Amino acid sequence: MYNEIIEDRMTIYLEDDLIAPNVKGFNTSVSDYLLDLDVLDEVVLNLGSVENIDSIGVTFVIGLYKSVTNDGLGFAISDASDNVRQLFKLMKLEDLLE
Amino acid sequence: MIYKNEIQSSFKSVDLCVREVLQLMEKHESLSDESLLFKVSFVLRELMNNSVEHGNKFDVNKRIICRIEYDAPELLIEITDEGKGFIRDNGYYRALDNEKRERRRGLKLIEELNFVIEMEQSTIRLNLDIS
Repeated sequence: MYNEIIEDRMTIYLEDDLIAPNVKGFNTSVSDYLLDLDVLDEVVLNLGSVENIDSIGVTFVIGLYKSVTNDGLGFAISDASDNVRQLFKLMKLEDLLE
Repeated sequence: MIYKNEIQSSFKSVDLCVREVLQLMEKHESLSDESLLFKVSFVLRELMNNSVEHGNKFDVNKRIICRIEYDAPELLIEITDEGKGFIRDNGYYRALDNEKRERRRGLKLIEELNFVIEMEQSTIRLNLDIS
């Protein structure tokens, strides 16, 4: 996982699947990334490398969304595959998709 | 195609098991569709992660049995853990070891992915018609 900040937008890139064994590491990294939100206006989670997902991974995304929006920032998911997009729609989370 | 494995109760073991299943399916012409693989991956993880967390309560000494069978056009997935299992209550399945809403939501989602769910004690059986 790594992040890139361009102007007031931070994009977080997941390099592994969004599944239970990886979520603990994701949470640790994200906590570090979000220490200083003053310069940001929006956080984007890039799922371009995600092939597999489970509901613990989805819970991570929802937690990140809540944390970011509670701080008054925008949140979106980008580059999700069609399968991931379909799943988010079934879970009624389509509003998170960019 | 027939797959059977007995794994310990950890998320890592679930991941390895699911990857083995997907590799087998990829070799099978009728099962190699990308959206089917994604669906099976999600459903297997949902069921076995639940077994790790709620059924076997992270006890690595407790086992999870995963059995997959393909008899065209039916794909059967069967997961057994060492939890207290389910009962049928007013037409709905209720987990005896956990009443949490997210568990019921997981089962509902599996149904929305067109799997037919059947449960018997601590075994959950899914059928998917892939014709």
